[in-house]
Amino acid sequence: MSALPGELIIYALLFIPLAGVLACCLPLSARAGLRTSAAVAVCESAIVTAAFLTRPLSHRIFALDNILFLDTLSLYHVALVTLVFLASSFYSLTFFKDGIERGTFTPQRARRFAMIWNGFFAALIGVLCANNLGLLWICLETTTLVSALLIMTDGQRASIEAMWKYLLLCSVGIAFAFVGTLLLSVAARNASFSPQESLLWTALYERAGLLDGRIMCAAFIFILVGFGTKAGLAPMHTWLPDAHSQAPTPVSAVFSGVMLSCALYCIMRYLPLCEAAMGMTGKAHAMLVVFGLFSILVAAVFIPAQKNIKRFLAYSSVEHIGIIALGLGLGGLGTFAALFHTFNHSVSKMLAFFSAGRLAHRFGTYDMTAIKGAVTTDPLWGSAFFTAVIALIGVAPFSIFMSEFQLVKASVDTARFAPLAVFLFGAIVVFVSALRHAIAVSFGSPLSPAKAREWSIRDAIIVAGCGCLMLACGLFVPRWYVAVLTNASNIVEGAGHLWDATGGNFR
Amino acid sequence: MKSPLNALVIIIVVSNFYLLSSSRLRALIRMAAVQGLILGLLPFFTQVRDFSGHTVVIGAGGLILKGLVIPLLLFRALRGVEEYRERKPHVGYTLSIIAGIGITTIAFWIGGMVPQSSVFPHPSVISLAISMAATGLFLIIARTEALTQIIGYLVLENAIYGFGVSLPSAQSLIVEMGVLLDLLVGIFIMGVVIAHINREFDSINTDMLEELKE
Repeated sequence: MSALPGELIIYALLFIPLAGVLACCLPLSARAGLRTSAAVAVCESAIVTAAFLTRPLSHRIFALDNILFLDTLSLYHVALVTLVFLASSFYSLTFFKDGIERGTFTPQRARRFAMIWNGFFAALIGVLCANNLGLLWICLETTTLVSALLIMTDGQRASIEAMWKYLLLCSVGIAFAFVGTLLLSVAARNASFSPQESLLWTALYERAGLLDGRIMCAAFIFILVGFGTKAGLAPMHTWLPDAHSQAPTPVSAVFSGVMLSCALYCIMRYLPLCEAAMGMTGKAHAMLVVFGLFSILVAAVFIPAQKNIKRFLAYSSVEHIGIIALGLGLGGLGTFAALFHTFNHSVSKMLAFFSAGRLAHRFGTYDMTAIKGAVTTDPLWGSAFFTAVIALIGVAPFSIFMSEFQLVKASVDTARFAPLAVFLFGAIVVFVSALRHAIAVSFGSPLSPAKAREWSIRDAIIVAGCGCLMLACGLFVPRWYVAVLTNASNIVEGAGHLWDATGGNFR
Repeated sequence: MKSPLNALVIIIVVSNFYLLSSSRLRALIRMAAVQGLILGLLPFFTQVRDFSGHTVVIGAGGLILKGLVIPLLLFRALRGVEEYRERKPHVGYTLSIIAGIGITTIAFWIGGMVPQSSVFPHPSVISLAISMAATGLFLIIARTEALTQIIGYLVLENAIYGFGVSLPSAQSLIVEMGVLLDLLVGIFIMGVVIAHINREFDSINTDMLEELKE
């Protein structure tokens, strides 16, 4: 197989969003500005589809002197990012419609928004395609810098505050991750990796058993705290509810849907390296379990008291990121469940944010106590919100139920009942309180009389698409999808290679 | 080559104390610039054995960005801002200096435990990095003016830069330049936010930012 088409895929993935950035420099109208991001997402999805179709599962694609690469784990996340950006950029046409008509969302602002939006997209793809772990860090920090500007789109006091908190906390957090990266390179140089190889993930992955276990243990702590800040793992999650609630809704959807998962993806890259270096003692996994459970509990404490609809969804993201971390920490089937859950959470949370944004627009407030009878007032978005929340708390037959079920199975199989008990306790508290919020918002007599239909065909397609994905993955998972997930979780598990567990040497 | 390196380390520790004890914003920027300049000199002393063009680029890049460009950006961010000093820090200055003494002692105690080896050839720079990181975090937590918090972030980044150049393993140039570029853009964006905060709140005191507390 020639290397060229593979390389082209990576370059195309990176180049298309960057072309979108450049396109926004043209004097476009507000709508056309937003449409460029939709066009970028459409082209990107075509490339992702092509990548899935042409690349054998266990095959890695390299580009740019091995600095960039794609394997199943990264391609899976690229697909996720593209899907969420696709839906969100179409949704942003709906979201900013009023602003454009009233003239508050000027062409200049729209172009700026679309430019940053595409830049954010490119940076996330950069994170996922990076083989050099230093480049991975740079791209993730770039996502922070770029997306901070997106939070401040409306320039209100609260959004400036949210942005400041986000920028400072995430930058400081990610600085810790860089210390982790440096420690990794120290360990690699000590194990006689060449300078070029000392940060190349594929090279380190092949011979991770040679790395110094103590240095790698320290590195993993820094990595977990650093990238965990960006992923919204408690107790480093404090920026998350503010940023999610103040950002424009399409941005909240992207934040919650994929940015958090991309930060967790970075941890997934380090997990097998650290475990192999520490001789498969499960220490790194245990740390993930602790952070995951703590996040679930924090969400369970804060969700019942939330009044702002987007803050409620943001805390739900903290819970789900906790669940994914827990799955990764359990390992084995848990890793599979975690990756599956990543997708399910993204789709459901995206729909939840979309509908929350529209309901807030319809009722003129984000205060859940003032939103009543949403299903009768706005049949499309009201029922979409209710369905999404129901799916998020893990009601069958939606897909999140399936992944959480796998997670429970994983912990029962490995006889880890303490984490299971904590998880179930947290999940039940969230279930009850989120259901209470959702029922209060969706049903009851509406405070404002039902108005004329306020949704377009585009909205209906977005809702139906998300709904179908949520249902389809809950009812029936196609065989190729299982194969992709298994392959990706094998990469995280480090099972792609054979380890001599006793000596920690590579066979 | 030990004593010039130690002299640099001592100057940077002193600059840490200045940052902890001064309340005047412009003086803080100036001292951060001095710290950046000295840090830029560090690679010329730590990477003596594997001295190369790489060392020059990293040193010069640090020197120009941390010692010149970033301070200028910060001065620019202060235009139109009325405050010239930190008025209500969460932790007072006497207490800050005592904290600084504690931080430095602990940092050098930890650094003293790191054996000098081929992995960590300069334990004193590691102590320095730890004390700078702690100073930076302290500034972010203990001060209320947005600018002082940026300085804190800058000191934290300086710590990482120092730690990075003290290691024998030179990263690829793309990575180090990318990191410096990210820092530059980050500080630039923070400067923009300062302007926004100042416009909305007529002050850059972050205690004003309290709408989202819960």
